[in-house]
Amino acid sequence: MAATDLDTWFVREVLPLEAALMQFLRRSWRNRADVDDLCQEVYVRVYEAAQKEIPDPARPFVFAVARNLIINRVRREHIVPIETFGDLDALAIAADEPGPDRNAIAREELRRLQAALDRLPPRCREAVVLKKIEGLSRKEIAQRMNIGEDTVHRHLTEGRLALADLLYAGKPDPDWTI
Amino acid sequence: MNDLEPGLSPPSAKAIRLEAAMWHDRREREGWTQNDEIAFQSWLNEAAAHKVAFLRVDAAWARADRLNALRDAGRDAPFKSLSRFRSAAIRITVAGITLAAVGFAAVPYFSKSHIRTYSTAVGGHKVLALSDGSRVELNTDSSLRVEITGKRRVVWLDRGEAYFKVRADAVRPFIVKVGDHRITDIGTAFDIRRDEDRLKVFVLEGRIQLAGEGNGSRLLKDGDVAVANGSAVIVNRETERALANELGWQRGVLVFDNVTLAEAASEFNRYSHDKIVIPDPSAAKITIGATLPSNDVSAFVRVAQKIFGLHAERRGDNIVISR
Repeated sequence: MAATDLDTWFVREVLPLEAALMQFLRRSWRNRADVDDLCQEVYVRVYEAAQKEIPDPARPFVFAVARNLIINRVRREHIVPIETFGDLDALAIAADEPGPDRNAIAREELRRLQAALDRLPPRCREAVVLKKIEGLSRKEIAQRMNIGEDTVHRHLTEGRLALADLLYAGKPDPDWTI
Repeated sequence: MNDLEPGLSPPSAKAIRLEAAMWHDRREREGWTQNDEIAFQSWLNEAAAHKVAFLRVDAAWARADRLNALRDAGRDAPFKSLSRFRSAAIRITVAGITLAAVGFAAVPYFSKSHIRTYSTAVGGHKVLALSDGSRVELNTDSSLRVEITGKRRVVWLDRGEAYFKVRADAVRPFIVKVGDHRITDIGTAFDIRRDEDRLKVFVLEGRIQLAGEGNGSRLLKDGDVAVANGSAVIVNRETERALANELGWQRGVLVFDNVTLAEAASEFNRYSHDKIVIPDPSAAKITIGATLPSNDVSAFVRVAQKIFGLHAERRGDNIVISR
């Protein structure tokens, strides 16, 4: 898949906002079970809007979409959860702080990746490590772990899913296990 | 894809993300055909929801490529000295935390049973990912050896200071040997600092057992700080804040809370080839509270000059501070 400008923009500008977005959605919407879906819905709307014109800067736009989504949901469902409106206006959009230096960022990223890796279920972690760190082929992974290639596929799929949640949402989803 | 529950309308984010991850992994498999690719593209273009879910998993997986860095022992980056700091009366806070030379290194996961050595130079800092899932950070001028097998996990701290975040393993206790002392982990995070004959152990989480040659062992719990000198061991309790200050090096800072300039200087000297010397006892006894970048001796010198009105002069590798 050739990455388009739009896709590159989405990955670079929007995905890193996920942890903050999830936090906002969790605060604004009472039913935690809906939050993943709301986040996904925000992404869809942002992506579709960006197909026409890429919003710059991204952050206020993404949060405006999230806010509208919540407001519409509240109207549609004819319920006003007590906490819902509290935070909407107090949507703190932190000014960009001076960034830490590059080494610090690189190290932080590696720590985060390690932490994410540590939180994978053991067999899944093993498969991801063999793939990403040891650079083994799927066949070799299957041999090393003494499992079939379909099981390797399952572990690696699970690993992908979990890493995306850990790296972007910043917290594990307790139901990763496929 | 066939594993999904039918009739979900609209499909949940979780279901779509799972599909995206399955596609993403499948494309890597051998025997991916033209038809598979067509099926994939039509799934991808079916809905923006599919597209964003795929971009997300693809980006996360690409980020994980950095884990590659864990494969080879890293080298220390060149010494950098960039510090932006504002001073306010006597309390100095560093705005942009700077880090000393950074190196990444690791024992490859699932390595065989040989012993590996990891060291840092003066001013260095390394993060190690051990094959058992434990994490170790090496502070300046430190060296340790690691042996991890299916039966045991042993680390020898030969020099300097290291922080350990140990993954619990009921079968293989995690043992750190420091000279005649051995520290046995019982599922924890702790920091060990070795200066010549003196050993200092900070327990941040959980419990550890500290045993010396010839004398018995004692159990330490979080908040305990043990200082062992030969066979004498003294244990104190520290607040969480004081412990966090001790671990400032992990963030690239040194935190001084009411210590003398002489003590602060000797702490700085661990991280630098340029050594601060304060021969004047009356200057050495001045007390200081500050958070400073550990890799920047000049920050310390500026504090001495600007705040305490002291005089600084370079003589060879020494920076002599006097009244």
